[in-house]
Amino acid sequence: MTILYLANLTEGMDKRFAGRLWDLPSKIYSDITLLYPGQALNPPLLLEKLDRLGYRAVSGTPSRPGEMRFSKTALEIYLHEFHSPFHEQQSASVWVGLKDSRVTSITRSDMDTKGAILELEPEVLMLYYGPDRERRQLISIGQLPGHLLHAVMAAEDHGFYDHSGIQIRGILRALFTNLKEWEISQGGSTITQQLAKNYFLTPERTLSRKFKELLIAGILEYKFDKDTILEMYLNEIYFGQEGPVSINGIGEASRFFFDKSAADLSVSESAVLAGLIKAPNSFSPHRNLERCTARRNDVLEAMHKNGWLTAESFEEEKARPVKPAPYRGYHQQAPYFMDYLTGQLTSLYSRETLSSEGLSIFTTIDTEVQSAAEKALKKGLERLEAANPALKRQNPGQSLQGAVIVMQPKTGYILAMVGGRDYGVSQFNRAVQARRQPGSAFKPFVYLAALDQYTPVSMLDNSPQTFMVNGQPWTPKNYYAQAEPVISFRKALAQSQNLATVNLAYGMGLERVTQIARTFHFSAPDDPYPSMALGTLEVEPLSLARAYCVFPADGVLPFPLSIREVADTGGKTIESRHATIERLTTPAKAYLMSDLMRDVVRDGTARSLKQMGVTWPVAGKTGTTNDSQDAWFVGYTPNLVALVWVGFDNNDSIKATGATAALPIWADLMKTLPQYVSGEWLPPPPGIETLTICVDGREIAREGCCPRVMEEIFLSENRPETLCRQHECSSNLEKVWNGIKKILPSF
Amino acid sequence: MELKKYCLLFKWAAMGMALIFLTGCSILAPKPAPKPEKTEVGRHLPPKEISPEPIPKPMEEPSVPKPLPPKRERPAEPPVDQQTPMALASVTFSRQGQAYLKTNKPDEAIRVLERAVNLNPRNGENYFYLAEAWIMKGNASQAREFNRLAEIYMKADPEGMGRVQSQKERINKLK
Repeated sequence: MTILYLANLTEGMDKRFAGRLWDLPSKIYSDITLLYPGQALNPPLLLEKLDRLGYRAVSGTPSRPGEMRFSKTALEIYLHEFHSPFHEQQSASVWVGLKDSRVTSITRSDMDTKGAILELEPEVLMLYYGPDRERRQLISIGQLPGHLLHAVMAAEDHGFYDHSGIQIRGILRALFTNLKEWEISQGGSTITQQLAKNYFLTPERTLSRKFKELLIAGILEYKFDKDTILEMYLNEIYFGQEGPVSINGIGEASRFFFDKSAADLSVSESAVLAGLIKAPNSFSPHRNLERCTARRNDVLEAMHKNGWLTAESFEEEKARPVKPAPYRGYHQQAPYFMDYLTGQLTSLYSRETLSSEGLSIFTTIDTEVQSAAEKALKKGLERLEAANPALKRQNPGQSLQGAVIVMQPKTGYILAMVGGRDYGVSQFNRAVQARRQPGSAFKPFVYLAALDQYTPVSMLDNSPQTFMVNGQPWTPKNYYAQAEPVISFRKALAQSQNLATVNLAYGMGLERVTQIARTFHFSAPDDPYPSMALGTLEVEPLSLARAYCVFPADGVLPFPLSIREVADTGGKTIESRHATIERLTTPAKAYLMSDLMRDVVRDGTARSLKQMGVTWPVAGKTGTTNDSQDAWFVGYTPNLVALVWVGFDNNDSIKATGATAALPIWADLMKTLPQYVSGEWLPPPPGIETLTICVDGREIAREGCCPRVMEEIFLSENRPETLCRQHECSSNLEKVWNGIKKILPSF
Repeated sequence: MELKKYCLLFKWAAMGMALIFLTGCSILAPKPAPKPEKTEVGRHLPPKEISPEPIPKPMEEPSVPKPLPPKRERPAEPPVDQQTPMALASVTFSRQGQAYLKTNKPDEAIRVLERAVNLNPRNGENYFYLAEAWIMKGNASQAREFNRLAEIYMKADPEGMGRVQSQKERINKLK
């Protein structure tokens, strides 16, 4: 019977060892952060980031990993060590010179020359836990210093290498104490027993479990050598709780408490960790430094008594203060993005793999942009509610909502994604799941489709009209009833004129609107209808943001990229994702559209952007749907595309426009990201021509004949070819007379 | 009254000078015709009398030789001292990318070259080397897209354009 039971236990153990020993959660990281000379910074955002990365301000010169000192003239930082397939960061002190919130120079202690670029390690955004919610970094015993092993043995089981897994004296002592107190309270376990208890058994304290523990300990000693048992123990043991997550194993504990690898622990630090095993939360250096120091000293004394520490070293180590690394909480960031990412990841890996195989997933998220986007949205929605209390809702689940997406147009990197106001209240990710009408934010695609037939100086009918749609009259309206009855192509887009746009769509054929929508991967019906030109097709905000990338990206559409790299526990890349692009239009058309949309910002519907402090070159388009159910602004520079949407989930009116609801949020966001503002505009590509045009005749100006001229850009393949027919000078005399009239206008 | 008289005199004098000029009088040097008033690109209000016809006017042969508009090409990268900090920072990644390509590591090269593009989308070299990396990976369609971008941004650089053209030929040979 006993033999059968033992055989059963052994089989269970073999099964356990045959598979993976521990579940390791996958870590999801942000992108790295760059600092380089000349770069403009937003110090509060950078300091928040450094705080999240576990850098703590000190008053003196930073001397240990994780310390920093910030002033107006310098950021001094002692880098953490960090290793990834594409980022090797050694612990070193770095001096970043600053002037007027701009980086002037970067000097590293570990490099002779001035390093041009500092790459700060990525942030852990989330851990993909299994049901146990354990954090663990595996170590092998060969990497560990002898004093760490001695400290652990001194604290827990000094005779580990001498006994056979069980110490009868300890068991008898525990039994005596338990019987005396009439309850099971004393352990008296060897390291092997502790491993048996923690790894194979449930935590309840019963005699039968104790019996099983002894049997398993015996089997472990029979099957494995001492080093293997100690290594398993050091990887398994519990070192305390961090919020809902437990810290397990000496590797994770040394990183968490001392911000270093277990291989680099000092004698004193080893003694602190060894002392924690007995009662991790009571002796935690973050909770009670005095108690922790006393416990550390007990362990040092035990090391000395066992001959593992000389008297001199004992006194020396005892005198050292315990200096834990600053406390680092693990908080989930960018929750909507995480949901989006999980969707992408689960198409590559099973949930079980993600929660157990300790993958490192490197994403495109820039946490400074993400944080700025979250703040700008929250502030903007609160501002709207304050300005119009009718927008407030009693039920937080029905409150005014918004979404923000920030992308890099050439590569499709998603830098930030905010899918709602409060993830705790609503997990519905409006950035990717909501299907909303884009309203006028769709117009640029209609105008793009028209560029083969129309030019920026083409005149469009903008007068009120009734169209028959499926036998029903449809009378679209302009936002302002007093709009000009005839308006130029350029101005119609800048001022977002509905009637001119519908006429334009009819002029080129409604099927072209369907065609262009499909080219940009929007879903469009087979039977086109005229209101499509005004943005009544529903789109997901991410698709719209992506489509706008085409304009600053020379006509190419990037795939939205969220994952850059996946590495296994050994740090080896197992998946690389790159920017993939698809040409949708010519660089010249893309540039011309950008030029037209700059007028939206210069003197069109988004002209208030300048008053909001956005003074660098920007193009974009506002959007407002019927009854103000949606407010949009999609704006861009050569480096960034950012989309803001505001609305109610139930389509209530927000009683504001894209310019008044979404635009201020966009401005707030962009003003906090000076590191992404180059101040440059797109250079004109081949296929763009600049001509002097007669303002009145809308044709090439006749020098000296046309009284009012302007410069306009055209596609080479669709440019005016005719000289102005309104101002044909009959003779050179007339030309000269016109010129003189110009000089002497008062006559 | 006096002022009006002087103005009238001046007007006639100007007329006279113009007539002398037109009749080819050589005692006065020719003066260039005054330049008409210009406005910013496309920002002038259109006149109200414009025909409401939304379709552009038909193209006609011009009655006189049309002025040749300047052909615009994307300028090559400005000199280092005129580049933005972002553009300068991108050079580091660009060099890293080229080094990875030399050691036959296209994935690593793409990773850093994409960073270079994000920092400075105007540098055609980055697209050229991205196309090289995609060639190395055997992906003709992505190589072609990046080659086209390189072509746009390297137009003003004859040596660069030579490389872009030869790259295009290599891409066309890829299946």
